[in-house]
Amino acid sequence: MKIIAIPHFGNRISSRFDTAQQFFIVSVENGKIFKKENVLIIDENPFKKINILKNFGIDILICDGLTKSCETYLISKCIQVFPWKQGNIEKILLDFIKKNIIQKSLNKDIGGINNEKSRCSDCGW
Amino acid sequence: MKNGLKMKNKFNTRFPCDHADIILDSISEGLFTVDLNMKITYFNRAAERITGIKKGKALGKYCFEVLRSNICETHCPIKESFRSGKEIKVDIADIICSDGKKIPISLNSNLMKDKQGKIVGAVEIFRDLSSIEELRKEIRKTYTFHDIISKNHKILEIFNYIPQIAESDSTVLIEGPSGSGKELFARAIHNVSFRKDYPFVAVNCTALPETLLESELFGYLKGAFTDAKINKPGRFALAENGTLFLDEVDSLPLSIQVKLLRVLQEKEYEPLGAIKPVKANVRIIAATRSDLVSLIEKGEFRDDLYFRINVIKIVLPPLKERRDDIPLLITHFIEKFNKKMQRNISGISIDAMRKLMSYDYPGNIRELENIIEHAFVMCKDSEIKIEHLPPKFSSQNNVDSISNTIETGFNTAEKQIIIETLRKNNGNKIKTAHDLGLHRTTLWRKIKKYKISL
Repeated sequence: MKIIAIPHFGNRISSRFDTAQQFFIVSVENGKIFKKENVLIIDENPFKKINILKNFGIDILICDGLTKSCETYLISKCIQVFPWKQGNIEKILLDFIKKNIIQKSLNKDIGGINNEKSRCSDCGW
Repeated sequence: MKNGLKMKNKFNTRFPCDHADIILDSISEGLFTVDLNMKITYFNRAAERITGIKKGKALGKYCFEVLRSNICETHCPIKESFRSGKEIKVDIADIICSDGKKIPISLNSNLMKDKQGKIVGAVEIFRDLSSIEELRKEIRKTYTFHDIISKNHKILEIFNYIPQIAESDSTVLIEGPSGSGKELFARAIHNVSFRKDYPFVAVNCTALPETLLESELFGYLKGAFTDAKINKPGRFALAENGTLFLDEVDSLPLSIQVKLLRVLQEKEYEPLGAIKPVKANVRIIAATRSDLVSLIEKGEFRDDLYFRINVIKIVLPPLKERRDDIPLLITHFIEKFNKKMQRNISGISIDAMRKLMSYDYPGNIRELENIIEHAFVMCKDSEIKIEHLPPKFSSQNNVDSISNTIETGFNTAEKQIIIETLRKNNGNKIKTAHDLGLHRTTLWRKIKKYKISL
């Protein structure tokens, strides 16, 4: 089971992770969505935001604009990051699942939509 | 910026379209226009440069997905212009450009209307404030954790619990060698804490003479001593509701350590000449490059004070233990000095990087910053090379030094082997030469060279 977080603004991926307030959190297993929820995180401190996401059990973050410091901190928290994605969140999520990214990530053979990935050196994610 | 907006309207009547593009592409501010659906219809060259996004990729996209500013979702100036019909000015915002860097900007947005006065879209002009922001940070020291450059696991471990540290009000002790960033961390903790809107007061405990230290820290009242003509607030009073950073806390005299302990325990202190104590609402962050435990053993630091300030300890490693951060820091300093000195140095040569990667930096990050600044002064090209680095990094010096080191080591080893073999053979040179595979005369020459006495 993998838990994916996507910051959103309306029905599109939020243009920035650090200022996003709404997060779509989805549980996925074997290419199927098991649980969806919308979470509000109103915290100006992006590191705290990341800690909160980690407490939700997030394994993967799909987002758009991401600063280097946030990316580094996310990786240190063993959250796999797929930044610079834009568009409708449902479509992005379905594309993501359809391309077996989750399946590949379960096998530790990662491939992002655009082959963009960030991996934690400690646990391989 | 207002002139830029007026120009855009005048262009349609005075200048042909292609001239308008040339003119708008030559201004230093970023400029783009959007239609009523917030999709970009024009994107000038400066906008490409500041955002890192080419015009071809920007056209047709939602403006918030190109600009990626921190106010797009909450206080979009274009939406506000559409709603109010007025020009909107934002003095400070920031954007994330295509390489993940955050760039401070100011911006103006205004409506675009056709000849009939009907609104057809909006125009936004934004200005890169990076140089000004860099200078402002240096002056006001308003650093945050985004300013701490590291991907080293030891620093990332610290980042892990910084939010909790910042949220709490506990005293923090930062240990680390000189130039490792203790003050930067202290300021970053303050700037993400609930005390961020109150003062951050830094005191270097070695900078003040012992006789003045007490009055500097706690202040004094008029008449407390001969020259006390007015009441003077101390650093604790100046830091009220905020944070007091005590750098080199290990150098505080024992008499002041007692008073500091009282502040930490009772949350009050007495200015010189005061009859009543004053309440203190200050968070203390202390820093040291010494091992306080060994100072306690020597009787130079109070153990009860140590236990009071050592509630949360952050240990900063020396730069030589975080070599993976050196390239990042070099890039950061090059960008910093490019903005400060209005230069355009693109980077550093591989050879120069190799030199800097292998150096031990006794002065840590501060020393690396000084080295890059030195290189900036010396470099007239677009790339920093070895010859631009301080003399200690010059190739010849290093090669000679390494060669000398190797030769010295070899000679020492050879001498030792000859001595041991001679001892084994009771000083018999013929047997020694035979055992070492040398001719007698060669052995004799080496005995003379190494001045081996038998």
